[in-house]
Amino acid sequence: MRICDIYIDGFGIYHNQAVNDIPDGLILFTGKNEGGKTTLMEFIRAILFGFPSFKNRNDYHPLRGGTYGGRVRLVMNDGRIITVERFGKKAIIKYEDRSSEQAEPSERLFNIDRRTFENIFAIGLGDLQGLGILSDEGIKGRIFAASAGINEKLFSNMMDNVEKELGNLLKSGRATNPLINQIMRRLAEIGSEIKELRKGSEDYAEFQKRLAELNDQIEKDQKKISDMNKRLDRIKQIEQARNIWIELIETEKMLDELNFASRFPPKGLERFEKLKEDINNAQLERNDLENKARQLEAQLQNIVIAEGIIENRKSIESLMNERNMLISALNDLPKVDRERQQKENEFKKQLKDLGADWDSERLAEVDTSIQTRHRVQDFARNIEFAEQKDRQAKTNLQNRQNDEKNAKALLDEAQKALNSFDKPTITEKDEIRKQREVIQQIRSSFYQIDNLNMQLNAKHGSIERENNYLRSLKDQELLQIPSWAWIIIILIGVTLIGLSIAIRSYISGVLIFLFVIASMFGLRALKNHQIKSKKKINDQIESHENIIKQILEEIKDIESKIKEKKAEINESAHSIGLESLNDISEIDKFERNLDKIDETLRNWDMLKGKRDDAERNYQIAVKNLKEATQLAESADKELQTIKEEWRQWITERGFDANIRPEGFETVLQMVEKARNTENSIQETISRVKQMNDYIAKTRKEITDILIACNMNPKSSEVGVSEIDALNVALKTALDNQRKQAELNEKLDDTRREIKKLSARIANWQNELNELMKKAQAKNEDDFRYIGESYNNWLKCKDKYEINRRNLINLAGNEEAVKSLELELKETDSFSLSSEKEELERNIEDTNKQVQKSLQEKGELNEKIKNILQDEKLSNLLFEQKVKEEQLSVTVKRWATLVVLQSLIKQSMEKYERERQPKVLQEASNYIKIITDRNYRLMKPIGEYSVKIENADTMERKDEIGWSGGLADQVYLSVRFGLAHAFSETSEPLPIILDDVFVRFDQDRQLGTAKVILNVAKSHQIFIFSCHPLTREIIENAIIEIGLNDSVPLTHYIIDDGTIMKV
Amino acid sequence: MEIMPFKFIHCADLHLDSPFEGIHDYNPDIAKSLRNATFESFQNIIDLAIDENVDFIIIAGDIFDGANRNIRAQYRFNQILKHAVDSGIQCFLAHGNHDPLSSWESSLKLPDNVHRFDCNSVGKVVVKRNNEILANIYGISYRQKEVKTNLVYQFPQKNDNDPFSIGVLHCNVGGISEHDNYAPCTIDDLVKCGLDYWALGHVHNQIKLRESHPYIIYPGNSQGRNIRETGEKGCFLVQVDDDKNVDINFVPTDKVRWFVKEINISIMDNTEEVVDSLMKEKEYLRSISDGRSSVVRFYLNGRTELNKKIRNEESEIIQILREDENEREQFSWVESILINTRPPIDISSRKQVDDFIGEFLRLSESLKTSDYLRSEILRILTSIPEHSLIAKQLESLTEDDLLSILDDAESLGLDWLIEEGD
Repeated sequence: MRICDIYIDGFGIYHNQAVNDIPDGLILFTGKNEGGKTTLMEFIRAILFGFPSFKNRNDYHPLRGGTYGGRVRLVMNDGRIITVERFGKKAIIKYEDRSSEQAEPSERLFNIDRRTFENIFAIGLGDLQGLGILSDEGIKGRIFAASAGINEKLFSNMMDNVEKELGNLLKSGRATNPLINQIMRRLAEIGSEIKELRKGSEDYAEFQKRLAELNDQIEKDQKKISDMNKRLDRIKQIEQARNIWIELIETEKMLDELNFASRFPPKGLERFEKLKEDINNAQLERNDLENKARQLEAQLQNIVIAEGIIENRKSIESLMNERNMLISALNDLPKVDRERQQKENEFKKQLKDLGADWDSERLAEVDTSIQTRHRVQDFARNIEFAEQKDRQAKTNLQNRQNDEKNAKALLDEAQKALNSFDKPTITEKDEIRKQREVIQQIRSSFYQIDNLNMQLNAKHGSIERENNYLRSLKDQELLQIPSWAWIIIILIGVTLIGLSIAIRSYISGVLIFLFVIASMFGLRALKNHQIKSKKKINDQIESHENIIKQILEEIKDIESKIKEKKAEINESAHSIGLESLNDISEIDKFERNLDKIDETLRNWDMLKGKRDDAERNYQIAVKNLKEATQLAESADKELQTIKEEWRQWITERGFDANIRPEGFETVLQMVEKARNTENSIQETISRVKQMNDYIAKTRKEITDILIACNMNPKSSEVGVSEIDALNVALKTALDNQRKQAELNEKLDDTRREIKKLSARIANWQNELNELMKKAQAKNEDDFRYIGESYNNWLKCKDKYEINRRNLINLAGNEEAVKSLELELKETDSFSLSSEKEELERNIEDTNKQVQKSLQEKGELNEKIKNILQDEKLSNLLFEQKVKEEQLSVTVKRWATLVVLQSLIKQSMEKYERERQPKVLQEASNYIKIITDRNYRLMKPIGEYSVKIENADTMERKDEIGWSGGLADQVYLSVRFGLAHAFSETSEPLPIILDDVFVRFDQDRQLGTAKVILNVAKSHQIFIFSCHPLTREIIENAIIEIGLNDSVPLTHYIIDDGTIMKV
Repeated sequence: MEIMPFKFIHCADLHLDSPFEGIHDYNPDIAKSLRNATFESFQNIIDLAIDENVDFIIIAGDIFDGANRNIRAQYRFNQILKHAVDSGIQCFLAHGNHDPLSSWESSLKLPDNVHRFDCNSVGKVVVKRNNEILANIYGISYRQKEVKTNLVYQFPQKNDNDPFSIGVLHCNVGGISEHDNYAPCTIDDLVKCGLDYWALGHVHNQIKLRESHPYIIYPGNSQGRNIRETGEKGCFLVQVDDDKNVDINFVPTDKVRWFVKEINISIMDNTEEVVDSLMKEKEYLRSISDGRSSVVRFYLNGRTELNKKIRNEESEIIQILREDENEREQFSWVESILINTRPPIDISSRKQVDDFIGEFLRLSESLKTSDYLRSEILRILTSIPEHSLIAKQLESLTEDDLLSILDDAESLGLDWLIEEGD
């Protein structure tokens, strides 16, 4: 997959930014920091994978306007062209057949997620900058992780974390800290504590038994105390009752002596004295009232009332109401008459203003209704509208005439420019595009031939090496052991043995014999070794001869491919009109020519377009002029028609035809004003008449009332002063009448009071006599003596009752009093006191016993309560459950980690076995190209490392022997190898490189550029860099590895949110 | 034949003072409430009996949690029971597998008017009101924990002239798999006996096995005690009219209610949203608990970017959700948050990718679908020397546990392998 168009509507500092026709190959974006490189990188990621929701809060919301998001156009590996659009969270995928769907491209199109993309297709500065200073272990891990497509740091963190957490969870031996060990220890403790606590129930039964015994004992003692307290209370009662009882007997005697006064009326003395006082007071009051009555009678005789006035009271009051109106009528009459005269003069003037022939009759005939006025207003509006329309149409006509003139001038100018331009040799864009494709194809074939030649050279080199090696093998001559060597040894041996026998030296003879035997075995072993070596050399010769054969086959194959490619080139050259093509520079020349034709065609197309546009504009202007002329004529006609209608309407109503509708409204207003004045004159005349009638009527009423009240009028023109005199007379008569009534009422009240007092005095006297009779007193002194005796008898009686009640209270009831009185008679104070002391001693002793029992009971209850309310067991059981749950959860976590560890190890083994070799094979190809050495990468099974080895010498380099530059190149090769291997089974994605050159020295930059260029042959690569020399580095690399134009390099500059192609 | 109408309460499986299971962590205040919950629920049953003026109460076994022969629990049980007795309500108890009579070291005398059925034979009690017979109650207790015989055969056959008859039994009808198969019997056995109402115990869910003569009823336990015992818990209020028609109404009496709630967090963008959602859910559960406290377990599901973050911040989230709950009278205690979320990638398509992670996923998948899952996983676990310390716990892992362990390992591995850079 490659990206061919990018459009950013609004994203960070980008707004409405498009990058179109992005080719395959290497795409370089350079620019200063903060210019927008990172934003563009993020945009590409965001469009393809969405926004990470919580990674960081910099979500690149538009800073310069536009809708948040944009779109990219993708060319898929299978040739489909797909547009991915994302405005906000959701992405829309649009297909070539114009169908679309809302879906995530990562799921629908290329089946990898953002993170996998980062691990495989995105390489940043951070990935490289540390490699040079990494330890060999660090390099191992990094390279391994790169080949597996995982983040090395996270991977090693994961393995460390798993190991560490497992150690924190469980350890064997006497470890105490790990969590599971802690929980299990606590569970064991809880178990023993629970066992101990369950013994508590046995004590409980024993305590309950003793408690029952104590309760019985306490009950008995408390009963005994109660009996003794009862007797003690009785003794105290007798002691208290003794004095009361003696006083009671004495009171009984006194009551008998005063019994004669017991019949005296209750409160008789107080009542007697009160009656005497009341009678005296009442007699004094009666004398005062009789004097008052006499004075009132004298005042009544002095009052006189005017009866005539009283009888005409209503008429006088009615007259008073008319008083103000009469004054007003008399004053207003002359004013109203003057007003009438003024209005008559004004009316005459208004008629004159309207015209000499105007009078009341004509005034009445004019129609001033609303309908007429609306009709006049309609005329005014229509005429104004028609006049305005006429003016606009005339102005428009003038403008259109000018437009037509201008358009004609422009058309002439464009036609002139077109006529002066040479027509291009090729006039179809498609033809140019086809020729370009052929050029592309030829270039590709040249590149492939170069590659094939390189391979051919490599193969020839290999043959030469193989031949040299073969020669060296064949040159190896092994020292042959001749057969005479055996004979000589035997002969010498036999001779020496014979000599030894001859000189009778048997020991030396035996030794010589043994030496000979040993020499023969040595020769035999040497012979065998020679045979084996020769066989081995022969095998090697044979093997290398086979290799040479194989290489020769390959050379043949490559040469045949080269031939095919050359034929393809010639065929393509013919198709674009080239006779033969020996050098790639000829195709460059052809393409430059094609570029010129292409540019001429674009310019010619542009001029032709301009001429066509001008002609279209002229035609439009002519058409517009014609329409404007028609409109102007129509507006004029409409104005004349409406004016004629108005003239006809106004003359029909007897007015001048020259009056405009706006002026006619003024005439109507004058008519209405004159009519109002005429009506007002009539109203004033009527008002003068009404006032005269009223004054005459009121004067007659006043005269009639004066006669009825015997107050004869002084003249016939009576008025306000007569009304006032009648009013004063009425007020005086009414005042006298009120005074007379008040005096009569007071006199009646006084006479009633006198009568009441006399009756009351008689009643009191009767009551006094009755009291005397009841007390059987002979006179008032006797009455007072009997009264005193009666009061003494009452006191005695009260005292007796109190004592009696006290005695009952003490004893409880009447029956008990009898028993108490009996006991009082039979006992004495001394014997009771002795009995009391003895009882008190016994009660104290028994109480002590009860207290002791109660204390023991309290202690027992406390113990029982403790057993019953002890929550320790419940708490422990609860904790036990919690700990068991914690254990279960923690064991599961331990198991999860162990399983994870095992899964990772197994996956790693399988991955190393089955997948990784492909990645390393690809990476080896890259590393060969970069280093120009026959290096290959390999990964020893079971190690997290990648080795580099020389394929020719089989010499291996451990990481420790790598230079920083080599490490970078190996790392990049592995990353690209992974991307390549990945792309074989999945959709390849563009590779994004972020400033990978920064901080590298010149050699490392060049090496890195070589790797990138090689990968760019098969992948679209985006390089983002703030390094101004990046382009130069890449161009140098192109020259050095001889790629020339086979990998297109496209360069864009990013500056403050603008992307420009260089 | 008309009988005198009466009312009674049927409850069972009080499991008094039994510790709550499945609690990973606890606060002292909450723990106290939970410990008291079984007693308070029983108190609610007695209050209901008094309010409804019932004639008697039946408790069909497992009053205590068995292993816990706690004198304090017995004392509190008696104290609560005494309220019913003081209100003139008779009580009938049978013992079940958790509190069989052989291990019943009762030091406390039961209050008067409380009848405990013997374990030797089926006992019969005639219940009267003002000397008029209301019902015959038959019942039997367990002698030991494991009663494997069918105790229904020991119940007498009811005669036509007998009054309304109730059988009290702690048993497993029809071999319900979630519970131990003690005193096994069938519905047919119970029907044949001819009694009018079977007041059963042992099963912790309320089940009406039969709603016509004979009524066969499990009231369930009176208070949920672990995450398997969610929803309403309580007792049945049974009313028998003069025609022997039976009206059964369930009355919740639980003091603390258990809830399990699954929440998909795939559409949430950050931890705050997750916490908000959990907080709202917690408040909702509080609102539907009718004034009770509640214990909640949340399961978080879904593919999400937050997968690792949520796992790392689990304890902090729980702390936030539990904040101030211990001070509330009606608490809503988040017992745990079990995270079953997955990384935000489509594992089935990621598995197809030809890289190391793809290899890891394929290996995990092959284990999951293996016929030898158990032996494979146990082989991995027992290859670690320390495994001998927790051999018992490893042996008790179920097939589901092992699958869940494998899932977690896969998720954890993915989290680490695909985590974004710093």
